[in-house]
Amino acid sequence: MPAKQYWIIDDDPIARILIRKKMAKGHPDFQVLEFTNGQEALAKVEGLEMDQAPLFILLDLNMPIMNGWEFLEECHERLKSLNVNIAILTSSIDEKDQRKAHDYDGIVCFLNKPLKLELLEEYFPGNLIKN
Amino acid sequence: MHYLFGIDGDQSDTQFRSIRADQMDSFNIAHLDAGSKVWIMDSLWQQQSKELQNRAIKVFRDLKAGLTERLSGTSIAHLHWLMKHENSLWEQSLRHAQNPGLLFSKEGQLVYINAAASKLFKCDFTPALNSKDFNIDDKLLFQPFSPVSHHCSIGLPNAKLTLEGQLSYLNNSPEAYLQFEIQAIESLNTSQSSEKLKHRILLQESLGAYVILNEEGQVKFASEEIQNIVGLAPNKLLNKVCSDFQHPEDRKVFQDYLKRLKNKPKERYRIKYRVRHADGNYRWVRTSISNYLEDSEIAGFVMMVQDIDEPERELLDSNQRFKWASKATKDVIWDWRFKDGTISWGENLKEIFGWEAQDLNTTDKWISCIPEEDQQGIHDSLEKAFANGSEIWITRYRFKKQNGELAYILDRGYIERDSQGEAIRLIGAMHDYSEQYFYEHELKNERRKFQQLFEHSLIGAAMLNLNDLKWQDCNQSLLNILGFKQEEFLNLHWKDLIPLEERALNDVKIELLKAGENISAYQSSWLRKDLATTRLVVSAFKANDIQGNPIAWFHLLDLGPIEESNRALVEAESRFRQYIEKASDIFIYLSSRGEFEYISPNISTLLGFKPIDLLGTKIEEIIHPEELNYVKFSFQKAYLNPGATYRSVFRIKSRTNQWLWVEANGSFQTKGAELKAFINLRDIQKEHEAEAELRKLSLVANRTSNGVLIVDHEHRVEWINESFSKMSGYSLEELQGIKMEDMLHGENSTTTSDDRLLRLLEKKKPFRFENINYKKDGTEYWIESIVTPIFDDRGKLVNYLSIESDITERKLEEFDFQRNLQLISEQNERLRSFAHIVSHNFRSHGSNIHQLIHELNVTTDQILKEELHSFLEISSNGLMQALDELAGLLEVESASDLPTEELQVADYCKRIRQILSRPTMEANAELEFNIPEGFTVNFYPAYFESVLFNLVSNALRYHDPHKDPWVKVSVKEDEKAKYLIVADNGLGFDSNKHGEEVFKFKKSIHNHPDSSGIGLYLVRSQLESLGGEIKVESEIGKGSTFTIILPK
Repeated sequence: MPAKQYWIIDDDPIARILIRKKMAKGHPDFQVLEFTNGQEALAKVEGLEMDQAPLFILLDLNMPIMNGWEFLEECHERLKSLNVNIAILTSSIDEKDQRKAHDYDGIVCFLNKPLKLELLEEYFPGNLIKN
Repeated sequence: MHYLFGIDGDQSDTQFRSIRADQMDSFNIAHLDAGSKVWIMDSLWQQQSKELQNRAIKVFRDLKAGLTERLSGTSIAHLHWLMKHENSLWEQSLRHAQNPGLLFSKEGQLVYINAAASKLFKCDFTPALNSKDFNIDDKLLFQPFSPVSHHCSIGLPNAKLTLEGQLSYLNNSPEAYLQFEIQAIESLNTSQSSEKLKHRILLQESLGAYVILNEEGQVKFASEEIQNIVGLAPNKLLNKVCSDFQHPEDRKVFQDYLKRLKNKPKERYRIKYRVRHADGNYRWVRTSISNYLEDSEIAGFVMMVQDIDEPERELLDSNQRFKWASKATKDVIWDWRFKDGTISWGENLKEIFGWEAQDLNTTDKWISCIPEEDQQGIHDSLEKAFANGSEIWITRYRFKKQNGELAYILDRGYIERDSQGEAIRLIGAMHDYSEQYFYEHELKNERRKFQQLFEHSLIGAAMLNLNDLKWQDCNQSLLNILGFKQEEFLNLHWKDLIPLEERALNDVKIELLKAGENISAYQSSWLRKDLATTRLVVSAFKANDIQGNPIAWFHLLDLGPIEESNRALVEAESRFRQYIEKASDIFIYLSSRGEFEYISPNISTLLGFKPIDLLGTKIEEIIHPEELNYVKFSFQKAYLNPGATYRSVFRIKSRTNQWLWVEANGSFQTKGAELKAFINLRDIQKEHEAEAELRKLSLVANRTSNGVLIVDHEHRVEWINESFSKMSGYSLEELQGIKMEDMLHGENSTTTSDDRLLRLLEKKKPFRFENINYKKDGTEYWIESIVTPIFDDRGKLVNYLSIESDITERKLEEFDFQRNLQLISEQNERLRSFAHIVSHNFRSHGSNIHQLIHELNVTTDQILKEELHSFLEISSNGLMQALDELAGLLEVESASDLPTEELQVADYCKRIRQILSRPTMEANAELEFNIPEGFTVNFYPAYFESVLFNLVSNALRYHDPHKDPWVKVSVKEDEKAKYLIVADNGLGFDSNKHGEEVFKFKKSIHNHPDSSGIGLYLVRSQLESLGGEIKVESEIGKGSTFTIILPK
């Protein structure tokens, strides 16, 4: 069985470090892949095999080159077929963004930074993450 | 030489002595002429002995039997009777004597002159016998029957005759003749004496043979003229029964007339019958017969007999004239034998209509050239003319020419009837008035155009029932004026609209209307629906509705510059009708010197002159001086070009010295050996007035402040008013006939081929339309127009007229509003940007700091703590930077009307080079400023520096590490703007894909550590706040070129 894996897509290096640290504390068994914008992540999604797919993606919205929404627009179908869950993790408190999140069924939760692990776990049923 | 004959009773033969001397004094004796030897004696007949009377009667009879006998005393007495009792006969023969005759009393009184004398003296009078008014000049120079000295004179009622004469005795006979020469006739202004009835009759009937019948219908007298009609001398007819000369078929009719007439004194009948000529043929005559049985002096029927052949000859003559005239016009003469259905045609039939005579020689062939819908009209008009005994038939119809064209025909004919009054023949002329028709048609259309203009824009019309004073109908304009809806208005009583203080004035008008008078325009204030009063010009006329109820039509005009328009319109309409109803051309022909040689009699209806007044005078004497040269010129042209028709329009003087407009069409034709001008004159006074009306109307239209534009169905401009001209800068002449899209429309206009416009026009209702027009100088302006399409009777679009107002200002306001709206939305967008900045930039740093501090608090590991500290520092720097950027942004957003100045670009470049010396060095880039000395831009200094700084520092920041980086700054200038160009060979991006995005807030396209995405947004904001622009061209891996455009 391949190792449990999740992705961070965020342009802010400090934010990435802080997320990584928090995840490592609660779930040291998870491997992480980091991308600084949607485009980089998209390149990875293309050609992704089922067994290489992450359990979930922590997706920032506001990024240069390709932002979170643009990324989803490009590949949410593909991600859905790969059973990848999306968690939006953003500093945006814009309600519009929250409403928009309902348009994609791959999105399981909309979280504000900083990341609170217990909230993330709550949104993943079947102890997907807690294990 | 003229003769006057007389005899002195005293010197007559011995038998005369039997008359007493005292009675002799009252004798008047005259000898009429040498041939007839009739003697007249005037005396107191009643006082004569019976014997003398009998003898006088015998002499009279002898005379009547044609005896010529020298008078004896007995004859004189007989003649006395003759004079008393056969006055009319005597007078008649005296009257028709060829020689002038004057009759004097013994006292030297002139008691009678005959027709020949009266013609000679040119004094149109026939004095009554024994009249005391006519005295021979004083001194009694003219002693009757005695030699007269030279140079005596006779006083006439309105003339004075100077005679030179001598009384002489011929052949030693007792008869005395006055032989005289006329020396002079001097006109005197005296009133004419009244004439006796018989003379009047004779005068009136002087145009034909004159016959007197007794009660039994026997001829008692016939004038010489009768010989021309029946070929018999008058004396051969005496005592014959009149009917014997008549056609057997006509006798009964004549007898019936006579019987009927018997009981009707002074009554007159006109009949036609045939009489037998001595040559055996019957001829048609027209007779008027009057009853003078009760007149003691006539005691019979007086008949005036006219040969119908005569007028027919005249008709032929006039036909000849008509032929000449018709060469100058477009008239084709025809002769329609109604009974047998044949038609013969004038020579110019082919020329005018293209048909040969045999193509149209029957009624059916002729009718077949007339469109079916016009045939009924011909039928009806003929029937009407036949039924009411009219002599003239006039109708209008369309007529198909041989080439298939339809000509508009005015046909006029003279109806000839038989004795039963039944029409047997028509002679007349078809007048092709197509041109006139189209002209009239055009006028009509013009009028309709204007009428529509006013109906749709200005004049309110409403119908009032005069019985219950309720409104029954109205148009939209009226509702607009008074503010009611139609159903509200139609429930109103007349008084509901009149305020108390105006009641009296308006009540008077209603009373007048009820009395049948029309109300010309008056001013009054009426109530609107909102109970405010409005000042109106009101006019009204009375009419009846379909049920015959009295109604009044009111016209209301909101008091404005056009108050007369309504009246003008009504006037124009009535004049128009008059004009269409009139149709009478006048034919004249002139000698080559311009003298009248023939004038048709109907000239009198136009000018009041009789033809005789003008014959021989020159036409130029009655042409208006202003047109004289022009008329002379075309006259000369026509003269030099015989056969060609020329047209002139000029004014001609009437008898009452008024100038009337006429149109003359004419040409020179050879008549005999000479060239004559045959001219057809047409009264165009009404057209002129109608045109003047139109001019008036167009003036009215001109005076409105709105532009008025009339366009034909092909969108060609037909007419514009002055306001439109002012609005557009074009004159009527410049636009007339031009398609709207060629001049008035431009790239931003809705063109005439626009579907919406066409659809609206098809709806046949006025509509509103907004469009952009272009002035002559090219300026765009917005118009709002109320467009009224005008359709002809067949429902085809003929014209549309557009009442336009310049709404550019309103449009500009609208655009201002739009711009403000956009500004506000932009402002909103910016506010959202702030929200964005707050939520992203601040919050992201904030959340980092928040979490870092938390981590710091829980971490004991020193190394980790230092790392966290360094993160904290980065985050707090980021936060600070975000704040600075926001401050800069806020500054731009709130900046307005920044002071600009001329900036030396080179100076700024130097400063930028200094500021950016470190990054330049770090990137190892070459920074090149290529600015001509003294090149300036007009800009706000701080922003210019900021723009330049951002662009150059961006170029340095995104340099390509694999190349030798360079940044080049240059300027250029053209007539529109100055340009600052910042080019680099850095990383570049796909400007086709991201061209606009790079300037958006927070749209960093580089995944670069320093890429905050705010720089270019700021640059653009700063530039745009001062009217500048920025553009970019870039390609990945090749570099970018930013161009700043600063318009002059």
